[in-house]
Amino acid sequence: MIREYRYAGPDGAGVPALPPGVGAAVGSEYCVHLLPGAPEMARAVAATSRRIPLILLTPYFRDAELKRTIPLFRAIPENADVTVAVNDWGTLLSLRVLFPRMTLSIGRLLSGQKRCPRIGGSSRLTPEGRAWHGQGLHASPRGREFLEREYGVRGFHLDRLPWSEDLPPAGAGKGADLFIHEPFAIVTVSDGCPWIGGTSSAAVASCPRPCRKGAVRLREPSLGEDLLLKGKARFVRTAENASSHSSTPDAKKLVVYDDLP
Amino acid sequence: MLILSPADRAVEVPDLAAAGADELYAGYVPPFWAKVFGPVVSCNRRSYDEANVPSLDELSDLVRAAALRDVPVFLALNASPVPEEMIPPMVGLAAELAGRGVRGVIVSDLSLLLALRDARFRGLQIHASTLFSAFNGAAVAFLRRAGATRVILARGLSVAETAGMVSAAPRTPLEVIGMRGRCPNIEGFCTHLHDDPGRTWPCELRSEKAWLGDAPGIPDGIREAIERNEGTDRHFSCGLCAIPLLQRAGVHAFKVVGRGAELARKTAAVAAAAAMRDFGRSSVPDAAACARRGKAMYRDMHGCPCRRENCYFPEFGPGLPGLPADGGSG
Repeated sequence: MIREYRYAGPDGAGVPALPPGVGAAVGSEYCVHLLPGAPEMARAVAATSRRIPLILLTPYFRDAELKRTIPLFRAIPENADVTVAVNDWGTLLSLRVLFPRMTLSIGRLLSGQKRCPRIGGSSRLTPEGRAWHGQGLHASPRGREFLEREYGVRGFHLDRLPWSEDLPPAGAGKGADLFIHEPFAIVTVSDGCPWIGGTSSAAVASCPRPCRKGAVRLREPSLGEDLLLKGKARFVRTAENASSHSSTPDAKKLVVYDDLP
Repeated sequence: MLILSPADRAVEVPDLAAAGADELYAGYVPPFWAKVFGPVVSCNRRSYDEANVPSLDELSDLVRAAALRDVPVFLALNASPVPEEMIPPMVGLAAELAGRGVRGVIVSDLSLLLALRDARFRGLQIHASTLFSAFNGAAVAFLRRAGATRVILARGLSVAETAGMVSAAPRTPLEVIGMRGRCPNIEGFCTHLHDDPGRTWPCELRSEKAWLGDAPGIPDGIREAIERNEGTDRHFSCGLCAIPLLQRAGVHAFKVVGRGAELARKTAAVAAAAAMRDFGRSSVPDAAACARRGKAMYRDMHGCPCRRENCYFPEFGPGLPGLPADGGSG
């Protein structure tokens, strides 16, 4: 069973270069303009389907954006080993209705985990208060059961944070997969994108993706760690380097990024 | 369209109702929550005393004062996640609140939403918080299926997008946030810790910036766009121009935010929203007329023109083609 996935770029350009035994992640959790088109998705599925599984990361959508993205979802064959990570409750409902056999999972933006680096250093937090920031929907039997029964959800995407040491070990969950993303945790997402002048990403019909050419390091001492801004998302590095699955035996599945997604 | 205002103490109710508030909402942290999670992790995302009614008895006073004016009161229980062990006491609190006349609760945690749905309280509304990030009509449908009786939309939607969602969800009252407290980030996806007793939040801080890429420095435009939001005072956030159009679109409620703010600030915001609603009712203004009136009201209220960073609705950003820069004649 594949336990490690590597981010292969928004369109899956890096899929052919992946080493054997490693799955691929494509798309974006925070921007609709960083999703593959239907042809790119079909190519990524074709390149991976015979040997490795694929995760399609998806962001939040406005109505018109969701409608425009349906061909992308349609490009996923029913029998392909593709897990869609949703970060929008409306997308979850829509995909369940339109593609009832699609494998769906709950993305990091819906997980409930809090990732501000200040959490680690705040003197005002009690130990219980600090630990609260690492909890999430994955730990709720009621929420998990509802999502599995009503929407067929099979997994949850999480970050390994210093205050989330209670991530259930492999096999401890009741059926749901846990995908641990490393080494960049998403601290926050804005609707306005600095790479297009700060306007909403919804204001442009298509985007030439200038955010792929670099990132901005933001340093503010009270946060304790630098934030890394790319496109509409601010990340914090959770580990110096991404782990391999052998060094994180408790993670059921690992999603690894060589660079900011 | 109803105008929903924060209320932090019973004594504030007469002024807020007189200013035009049709509904009120408040915060309260029960001892069972504070005992476990301490002073920073609030069950309603506001940890400072001014933003929370200090006791259930004072909350009852607030509810009674509001009932005298036929104004319902809702309570924010919008922390997320609500850990499993906290679900039963939170449902118990909701029962207690219903008994004290609170008309509904505002929640942002899926498990708590489901538990409240399953508890089948008679007469207690369940509002899905803006933290659920409802950017589309299907999200409204999802939340309705999960038990929400009202959905508070994500901030950042345009008036046109909001209007489209109203028509797509005719059985679900929709609420829009439009005055004070606009955050540059999407609230439901923001995980910054708001622990500063001085109430300067991480998203307002000025950062030292460095470019990580091939260019020698941060490319033109990117730095400016980042810095435009640094140091922005959320008190100046405004969506007045949009009110007549939101009302015409069928939005159920327009929310003024700012729990914990001074009463004068809250009443000024509510009065301005009510005046703009009256303007929309007394005539049928087009977008340009709404912009003229809204921007003039903003200038009167704050003594300065509005700014793009403070604007809730992108159609009305100052300086956009076809719109007045900052009003002047209403």
